Amino acid sequence: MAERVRRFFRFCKKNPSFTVGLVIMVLIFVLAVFAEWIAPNDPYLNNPKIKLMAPFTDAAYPLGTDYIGRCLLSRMIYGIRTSMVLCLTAVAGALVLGIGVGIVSGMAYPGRMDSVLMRIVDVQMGYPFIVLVIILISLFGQSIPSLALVLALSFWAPYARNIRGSTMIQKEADYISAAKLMGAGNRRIATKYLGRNVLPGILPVVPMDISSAIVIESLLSYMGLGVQPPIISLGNVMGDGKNYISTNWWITAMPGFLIVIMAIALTLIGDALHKQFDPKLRN
Amino acid sequence: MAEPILKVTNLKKHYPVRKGLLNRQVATRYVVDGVDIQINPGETVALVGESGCGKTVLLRVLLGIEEATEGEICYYGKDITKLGRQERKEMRKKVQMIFQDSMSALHPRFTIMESLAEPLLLNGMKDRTQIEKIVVEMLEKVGLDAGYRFRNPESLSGGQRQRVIIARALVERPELILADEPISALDVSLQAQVLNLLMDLQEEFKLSMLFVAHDLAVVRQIADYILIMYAGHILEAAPGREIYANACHPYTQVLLESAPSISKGVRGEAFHLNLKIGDAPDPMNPPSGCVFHTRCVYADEGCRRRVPKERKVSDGHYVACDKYEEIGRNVKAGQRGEQ
Amino acid sequence: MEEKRREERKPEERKEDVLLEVRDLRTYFHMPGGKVIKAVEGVNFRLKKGRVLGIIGESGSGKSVTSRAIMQIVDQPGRIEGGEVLFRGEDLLKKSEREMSRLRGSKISLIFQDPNTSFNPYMTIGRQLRQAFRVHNKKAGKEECEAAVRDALKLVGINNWEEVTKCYPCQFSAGFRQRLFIAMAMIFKPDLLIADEPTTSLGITIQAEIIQALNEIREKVGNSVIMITHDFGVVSQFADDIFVMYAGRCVEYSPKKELLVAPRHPYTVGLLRSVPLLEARKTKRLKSIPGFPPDMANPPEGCPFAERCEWAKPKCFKEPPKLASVGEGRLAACHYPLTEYRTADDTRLE
Repeated sequence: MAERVRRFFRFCKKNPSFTVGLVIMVLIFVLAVFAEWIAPNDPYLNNPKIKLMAPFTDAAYPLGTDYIGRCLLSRMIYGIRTSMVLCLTAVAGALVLGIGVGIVSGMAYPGRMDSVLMRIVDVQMGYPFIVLVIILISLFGQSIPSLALVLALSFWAPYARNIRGSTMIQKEADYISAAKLMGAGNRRIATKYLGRNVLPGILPVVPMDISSAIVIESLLSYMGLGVQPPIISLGNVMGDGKNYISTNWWITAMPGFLIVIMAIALTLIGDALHKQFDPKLRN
Repeated sequence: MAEPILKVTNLKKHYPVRKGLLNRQVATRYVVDGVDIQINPGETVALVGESGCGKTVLLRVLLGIEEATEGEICYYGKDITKLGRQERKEMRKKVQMIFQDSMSALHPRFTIMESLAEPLLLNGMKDRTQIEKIVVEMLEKVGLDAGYRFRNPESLSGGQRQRVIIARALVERPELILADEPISALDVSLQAQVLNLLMDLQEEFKLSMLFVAHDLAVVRQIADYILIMYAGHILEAAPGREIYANACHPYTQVLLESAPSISKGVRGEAFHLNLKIGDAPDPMNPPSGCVFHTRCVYADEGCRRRVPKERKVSDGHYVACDKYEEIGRNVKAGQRGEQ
Repeated sequence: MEEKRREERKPEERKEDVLLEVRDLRTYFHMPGGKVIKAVEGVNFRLKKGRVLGIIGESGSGKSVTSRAIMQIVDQPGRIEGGEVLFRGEDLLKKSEREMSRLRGSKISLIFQDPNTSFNPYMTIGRQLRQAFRVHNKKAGKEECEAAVRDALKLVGINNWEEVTKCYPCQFSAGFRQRLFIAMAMIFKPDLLIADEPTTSLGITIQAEIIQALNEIREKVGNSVIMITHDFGVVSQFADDIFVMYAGRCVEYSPKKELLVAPRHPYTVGLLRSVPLLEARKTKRLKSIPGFPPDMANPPEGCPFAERCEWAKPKCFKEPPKLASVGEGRLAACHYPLTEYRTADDTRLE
């Protein structure tokens, strides 16, 4: 265990950009987890007297207020929490679905099972995303679980493709033949042999997908298709400024800025992982 | 004589080639086309053939990784195609394989310990300390330090990895080892080490072995009986010494001519191959008659039409060539002429 | 007998007969992180006109790097650190890149191990051969090109050249592609052909065919060949002189026959009695070389082979031996070269 921790620190030292990204993400995560203690004001409390206050003018409302006088900073901090929970579940769900389908399909290749699964993936990838969102939301209502499902569905297909490919290659390796000779069943080969080997291939993509999930969530919420008030999400907070964008830019820009920072941090992490796991880029 | 440990009769493996929307079978690849093998207890049989002759597929069929199209594979007189699940599992323990490419044969993310423990775990052994004890013992048997068990395959050299693979094959105390070119990917100075190791272990564990190789030099020391394979067929089968002293099939003679030899270098003979320029036949389109006739310098119209019969040269020495006696006479006459 | 042999060899020693002489060639790889791998650490040899030199060594012995250093195409982070490569008396290491590229292909050619990657898969064979011819013959007309291509293909025993030139590389087997690649390398009939493991990835009869083709070419063109291989079989069938490399150094250099009958360096002895051969051994177990080759980033202080040598004495671990004469035309880098050993002690020669 200690060896792993040491290896992790050595990796951080060698990849400063990774460390920067990780530190930012950890800070943001802390904000989300301890929102109750960190947020300076109640995010739901409206106070028309101080509405549309510009940022950096009052120490009590560091980033200003929105159109009904709610503290923008507090709302953003609470918003991170919702967005993070939503996006992490969505990507986790996409991973589970993608890895499962990918391995099953790769092992079944060439066969009917593989053909069926891959056609589903094709449909999923070819289907316009926004149509899917509308259908699913009209089916399940605008709740956080249904949004998580929408996001998961929009991310799992590339994972499945990728993992099917690497499974098909590895299936031919002699160590799989050796495992079969020892009497390992399909389930053991899928989980112990292939499972261990497919993760490095997609791990680098995960942070990038989390960041695009955050962006898509805020986009949907901004358009009013996403998380519904009174639940606060980053997209909601942004959406609140929709009608004031020409006069009171900060309501939209501040959460937007935060999203950009998160996206950059996650991309930095993903890049470093990519370099680490792709031997061709390592040297 | 004791019952043969492995007896293969008229084994065939054909792959259908499918094409188009309806997956119609448009052709057949005749990869293994009628092979007989017999391995007696304690014996090493070498299967010699060039790449593409079907020897790897043959091994996969023998191991049950792939189904045979036709023919019988009997271990101790029991046809494996007719065995139940439990019996198959028992049989599997007794037959193990050594691979050619040591990098591909070990899971890159397993430690050596994990790789070696896997067969034991699959056999239902649960006691961690006992597993570790066996693994350490096996590593020492193949000449590796016990500390290697914590390493990854990547950090080992090719020779060391090959030793690990041998150790893994022996963990379950098998009786028959199928070795697929176990030393051809190794460096010259390590080949002899691994070959010696195999011979020592064979003696210690009373193993029988099917040793696949692509030239006749590699198996000189180890083979009791040699099978020459070409394009899915066995062309000549003879005890080891017989092959080197009295090769009858023109293809065997070519293999002997092209194998590394110091004597030839010392004699400074001009290098000459009795072979028509060309490639091994396409398994989708095998030649009519004798499979070797497209490259054989002695081939005539008859070889093109007739499939040669298996002929007995002497005890245990068989050759699938109709003209071997004639060729032998000609070669002798040619030698006399030269002198 | 000894007298007669000396007389035979004397005329060969004349200076103008030497095509290539390599003196103390060194090539190091400077790895990121400051590690230096001394891949080639002092290589010396002499190649006479029309002869075949076989360089034999295991992977990592520096044999391929040597050939690349001669051609000056060492890949990054490798660097030629010193020495001389005299080709017809001129030092190639002092030549500019431009002068070198004029020599490559026309005077010195190289053929590689893998015939699958040596051709552009999207161009016909004929077009690629013609292009190769135009590299050093920019103004060549169509007929001239055709003639050169035809000659080159005929040289390697391809008589239906018209059909072959219209085909794409993927239409041929690996062995045939290697034959075509040799034709491409021989298109200018270079004085020196360097073959870097040209047969390693091929089957044994195809390998023999390729060697036979190289032999026939040499008879017709009279070029010299450097054959780099790990396979004693190839060397013993094809080479006139043998040069054994170990850990970046030349350990023994000798005419073929003498080396095969009575090797002087313990490493050569080790190889000869452990490589798989057609000849039977006198013992069932092979006398293998124990241990592994040294790490070239940290070469041992003394003789690089001392660790694995059964004849090693204390001096071997302290002082690296120099390449010194051990008989007529024979060199070995050993403090105590073997004089008594005969290959026949372990192997039944016919």
